[in-house]
Amino acid sequence: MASEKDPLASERSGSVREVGNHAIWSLSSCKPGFGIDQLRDDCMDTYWQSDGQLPHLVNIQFQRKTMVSHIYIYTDYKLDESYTPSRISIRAGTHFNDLQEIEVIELIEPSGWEMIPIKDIHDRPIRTYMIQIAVLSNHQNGRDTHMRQIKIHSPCEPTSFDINKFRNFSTVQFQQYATIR
Amino acid sequence: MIVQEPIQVIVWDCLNNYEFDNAVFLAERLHAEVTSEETAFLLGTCYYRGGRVNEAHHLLQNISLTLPQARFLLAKCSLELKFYKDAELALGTKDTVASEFGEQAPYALHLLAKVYNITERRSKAADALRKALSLNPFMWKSFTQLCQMGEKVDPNSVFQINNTEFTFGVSTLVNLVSNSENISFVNSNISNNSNLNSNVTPNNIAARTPMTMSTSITPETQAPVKRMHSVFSGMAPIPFSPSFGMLPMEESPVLYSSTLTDANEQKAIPKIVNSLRAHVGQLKDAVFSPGPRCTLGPAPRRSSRLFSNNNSSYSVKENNKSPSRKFVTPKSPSRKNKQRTAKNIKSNTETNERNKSIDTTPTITPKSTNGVPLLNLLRDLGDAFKSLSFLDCKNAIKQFQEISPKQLASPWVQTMIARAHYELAQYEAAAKIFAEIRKQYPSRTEGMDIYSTCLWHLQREAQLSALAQELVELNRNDSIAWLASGNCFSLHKERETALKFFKRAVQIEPEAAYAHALLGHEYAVAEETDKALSSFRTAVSIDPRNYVAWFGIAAVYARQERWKASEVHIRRALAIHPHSGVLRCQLGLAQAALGKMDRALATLERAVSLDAENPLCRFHRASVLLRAGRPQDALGDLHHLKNIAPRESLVYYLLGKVHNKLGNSHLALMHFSWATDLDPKGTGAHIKEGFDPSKQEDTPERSS
Repeated sequence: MASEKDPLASERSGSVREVGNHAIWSLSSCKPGFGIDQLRDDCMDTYWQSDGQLPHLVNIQFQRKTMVSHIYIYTDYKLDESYTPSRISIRAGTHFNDLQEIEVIELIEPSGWEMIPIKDIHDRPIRTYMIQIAVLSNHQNGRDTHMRQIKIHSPCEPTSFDINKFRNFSTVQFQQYATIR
Repeated sequence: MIVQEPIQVIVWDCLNNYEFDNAVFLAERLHAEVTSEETAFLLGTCYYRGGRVNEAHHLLQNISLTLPQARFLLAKCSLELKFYKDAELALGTKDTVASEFGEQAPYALHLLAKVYNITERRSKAADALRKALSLNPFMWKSFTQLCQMGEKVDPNSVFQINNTEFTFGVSTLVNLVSNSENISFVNSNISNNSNLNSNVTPNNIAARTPMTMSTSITPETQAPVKRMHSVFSGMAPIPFSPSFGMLPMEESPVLYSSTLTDANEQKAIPKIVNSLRAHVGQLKDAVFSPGPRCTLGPAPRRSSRLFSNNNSSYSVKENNKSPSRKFVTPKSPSRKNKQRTAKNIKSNTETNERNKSIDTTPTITPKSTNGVPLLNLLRDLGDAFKSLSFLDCKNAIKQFQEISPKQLASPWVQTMIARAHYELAQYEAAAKIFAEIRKQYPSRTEGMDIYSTCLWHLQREAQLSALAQELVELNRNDSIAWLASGNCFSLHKERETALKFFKRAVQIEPEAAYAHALLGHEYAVAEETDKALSSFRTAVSIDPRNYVAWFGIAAVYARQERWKASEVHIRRALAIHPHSGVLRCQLGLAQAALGKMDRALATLERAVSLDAENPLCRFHRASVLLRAGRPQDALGDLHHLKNIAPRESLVYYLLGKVHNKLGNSHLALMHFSWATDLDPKGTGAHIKEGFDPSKQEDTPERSS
């Protein structure tokens, strides 16, 4: 289950942060010039093109256990046709041999951002060392896949509300004195 | 043998007209013909002024230098290229500088102080700066540097010309005359003076024999009334501006209005001549040796000649290639003097002859009359700037307001006042002043980084993004523009972009401590604590008085709940900025977290009394009172806050908790519902998640 949403809007609201830069990315295969950089460059014109056997994998390894709340994937059927993924599996764990599938989504001619909320059995964002995005199949049974952009969101504030940490006042009158810049 | 001087003069002429490429070409030809230190220095100067610092450095480095000017230029190039060791070698130590560099000593000392500062020998730097100031009380930059280093300087004693060490640079005296007057003057001079150096071909240099100014002291600082011929006007002719530096001589109005026909006036001239006499001695070689001190040999000591009534001063023993210059003809400020050339020559001739006959008239030493008004102004500004540097902001604002209105309206003074408001956390006032400055001087970027921070605090998104855009459009190579952009995106919470821009700013100007501090703050908000700490530490190593960085470190530790470390750093910041309410609040919070409730309350008490406008002081005091188990006392503060800020949801939240503690559960619930209403996503969400007021009396600080 996925829905259209703009990741940038969530980032701007201050409730989530993009944590992809804190992770090490690797791919199962890629065509030269169409690899990780194109996947993370904030540009929808460049894309990752895989070059191997299904399932194609994007591995994201964090240095510490990171809370992940959403994964956003940008694909475009109109541009990529048979390269557009149709079935994506999200796995999480501590390392390559320890991954468990937590989410499977079906895409039908997607065009734009797909938001994949990541929740554990208690409906909370998961805390994990590693995330693997696996493309299980493409549209029109294509072999290779194109993915234009991936973003990982992590919730900003831990939900504890300590009285000492009053940092977010609701009025400017108070907030302007909250810190010195 | 090649005649160098005319070519040198030509090159200086190019330089004075800002045709650097032309000058470089000619100087290169000269240097190729005659490879000497003098020509190398000339070529180096051309390179430096043309912005080709690397080439200047390379040129000067490979020859052994004896000329102090050349050493100074080499040091300047080395400093810009960050070759601190070379710079220091070229300059020497601060004790030898004064004797070796003579007139250039203040500037050399200032440069040396920069090197000492960067290599963390701050006490030596302070000494060098003080010495520079004593040698030349107009070195405002040295004064500001001392203030910024936190050294105690007394503006009253510094901005005085009362010490004999004071050397008045030759070049500083000559900004006053227009070019055409030069022409006429020089012609006449040449024809009149017999001890002309035969090296010079007068006709060639008839057209302005410029001398570069090594300083650009404004005309007001010396004998403003006299229009000295610009044989020394290395600068482009500066129209005489009779401003505050007016010499208090009675004939001054007469002189100003004097046209060339009045040049023959007898009464004005002797006085002018006399006061000029003191300066004349230094000008001896100026006409025909274009470099400010291109004497091959030890630079003559000017100070003794300046202040002694030694009228034989022009016949100084050293390389005296040029005729003694006695000339002072009051000139009207008009530039259209070419047609009056003929008259000029005549008047000059007479002047010169008259001069020769007044040898024994006592000199009016400049120190008693020139520059004093400027020094007075510098003293006032110095007092105010010192207050600001030591963060005594209220006094600083008062002192700045007392400056004369014309100076008060100038952008620098306004920027300082705005900065004072910013340091007091009066962001509204600061933003208003900055907006005014922007309107009148849209291309001025100094202080605009502070403006962007004020807008950030006030959360004025539209204005901040407009500011950022304008600054970037103005100059992409200015770190201030990128700091403003970074602040803009930080306000929009786009952390990655904000970080990118702050990093850019730091890359452009790695020595700006504030840029590092802002980068650190952005890292801290993005929760990259290691990078944040390292940025803050860089900021502090560049400028130990940057309290923003100290506060940043304290905030990072507070976030990690390392309260002891946080307290230490906050105290450091407070030591620099004792009047800050925000810092004191933070200290109070740290102390409360460590359990020292009484100390915390005392600190917050002080904060409230110091900073009346800051509601957070009361807010935190209330919260600490609650934690200390005195909910009743907290009520007073909170009610006061409710009155001044009725829409702040956290006030109601705290009120709710207080009432909860007091057992008034219905009041508590009421306040909680108000808090939720006011801010459903922030406070309200927390209330909903973790708190059930009916169940317990404990403060709901569980993580949900």
